[in-house]
Amino acid sequence: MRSTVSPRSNRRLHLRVGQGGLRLRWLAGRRVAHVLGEAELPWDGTSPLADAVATLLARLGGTAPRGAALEVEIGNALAHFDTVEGTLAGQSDAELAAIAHACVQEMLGSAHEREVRWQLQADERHLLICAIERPLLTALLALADSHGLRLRSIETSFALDWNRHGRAVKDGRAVFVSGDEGESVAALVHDGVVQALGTCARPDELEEAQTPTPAVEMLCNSVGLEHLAVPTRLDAQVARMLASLGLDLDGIERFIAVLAHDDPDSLSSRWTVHAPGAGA
Amino acid sequence: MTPQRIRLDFAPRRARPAAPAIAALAAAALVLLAASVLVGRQWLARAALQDEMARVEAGAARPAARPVGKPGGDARAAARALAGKQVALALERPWDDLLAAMELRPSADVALLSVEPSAQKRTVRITAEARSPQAMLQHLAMLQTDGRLASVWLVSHQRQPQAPGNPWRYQIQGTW
Repeated sequence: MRSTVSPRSNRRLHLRVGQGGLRLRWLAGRRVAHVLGEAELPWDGTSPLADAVATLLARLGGTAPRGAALEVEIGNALAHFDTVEGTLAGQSDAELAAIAHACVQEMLGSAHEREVRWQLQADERHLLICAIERPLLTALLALADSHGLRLRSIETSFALDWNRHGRAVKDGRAVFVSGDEGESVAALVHDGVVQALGTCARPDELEEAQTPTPAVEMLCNSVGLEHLAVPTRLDAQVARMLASLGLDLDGIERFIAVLAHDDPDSLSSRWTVHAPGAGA
Repeated sequence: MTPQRIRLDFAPRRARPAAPAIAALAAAALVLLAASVLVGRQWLARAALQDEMARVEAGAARPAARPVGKPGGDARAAARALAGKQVALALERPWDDLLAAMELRPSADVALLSVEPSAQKRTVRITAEARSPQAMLQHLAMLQTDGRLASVWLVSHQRQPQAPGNPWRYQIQGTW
C-alpha cells in the first residue's frame, strides 16, 4: 500500500486483474488520471474475488461509496487475442460474430466457456478478436454487485495501452508491444491497422538472449557505438512472431513497447518505451 | 491512417430502447392526439348547435316578444340561422366513418403521423411512414378500395435516409 485516502463519490476505482495478483487504485480526473491511492494483493483465482477486493478496499481506508464507478483491466495473460484476415467489408455483425467464435473455437477448443469480442479494423480486411474466460467475468459482475459498484468497463491491458499510445504507429510498418508481468502481446501494425497478434512467452520459458561479450561491448564503446542495437529478449520474442508471418526485424520501421517495469537489459535501442497510464 | 481505438469492452451492455420502438411509440401518440382533437371539435360543434337550436326554438315560441320594426333584428336572426345551418352541416359529416377510414392501415409496417381534415374543402390529408414502398402502396390501395373516402391519391412520398430504418414518408389525400 502506498497511500491511504478517504474515497469520495466523484472518484473511480480501477481494478487490475493480473495473472498473479490484484491491484486496486482510486483514480481522479478523466483525461489525465491521477492516482489517489493504491493497494496490491497476490491472488491466484482460487479465493473469491469479492473478498480479495474487500481486503484491498480496507487497505485503502474503507469501503467504496455505493454507486462508485469501477473500471476493470484484465492482464494480457488472462485474455486470448487473435486476428483473422479476409474480405470482411460488408459482413453483418452476426457474420463477424460467427467468424470470431469459430476462430476462438479453433484456437482454444471451445468458445462457449469464453466471452468473445471482436472489432473490424479500418481496412475492413482484418478482424481483431479477444476472448476472456466467462467465470472471471461472472466473478467481476458478482464483485460489483456485492460492493454496490457501477461496472463501467472491462478491458484488456493491450486495448488500454493501444488506446493510449497507438498513435505512435499511425503509418508504416511497426511492432506494438503491450507488456505484462506474465505475458506480453505483440502486434504487427501496418499504417495503423493491427494485422497480426502474437504473445510473448514468460521470461522463465525463454532461452537466454544473445548478449554481447564484455570484449565486444568494450569495442563498441571505443568507437562510439554505445547504442548499438543488440538483440535482446524482447527482440527475440518479436523476431519469432515476425518469422511466423514471413517477416524479420529489418522490415519494421518502428518498435513501440508499453512496459510497466522498464528493464534496460531486456531492451535494445530500437525500442521506444512508454509507461502505461495511471488507469492501466 | 490514424489508428482506430480498440473498443473491446467486456462489461455488460446496458439495454437501450430500440429506435424503431421509440418511433412507433411517437407515431401512436400522434395518432391519439389527432383523434382526440377531432373528437373534441365534434363535441364542441354539437354543443354549439344545441345552444343555437335552443335559442331559435325560444325565439319561435315568442314571436310577439320580438320588438316590431326594430332595425337589424331580421339580420341577426338570419345570421344565427346561417350559423346553425353550418353547424348542422358539420354534424352531418360521417365522422365515425371518416375516423375509421383514417385509421385504416395494412400492417404494423405503417405508422400514421398526422391527419388533417379540411371541413370546407371536404378533404382529409393523411401523413404516414412505411417501412417499405410496398407497405405504402398497400396503404394507398386499402384507402382507395375502402369506399368511405373518394378520390384517394398519393400526394407525395420521400425516403427518410436519416431516420432509423430509412422509412418512406408519404401523404395521401382523399375527399368525402
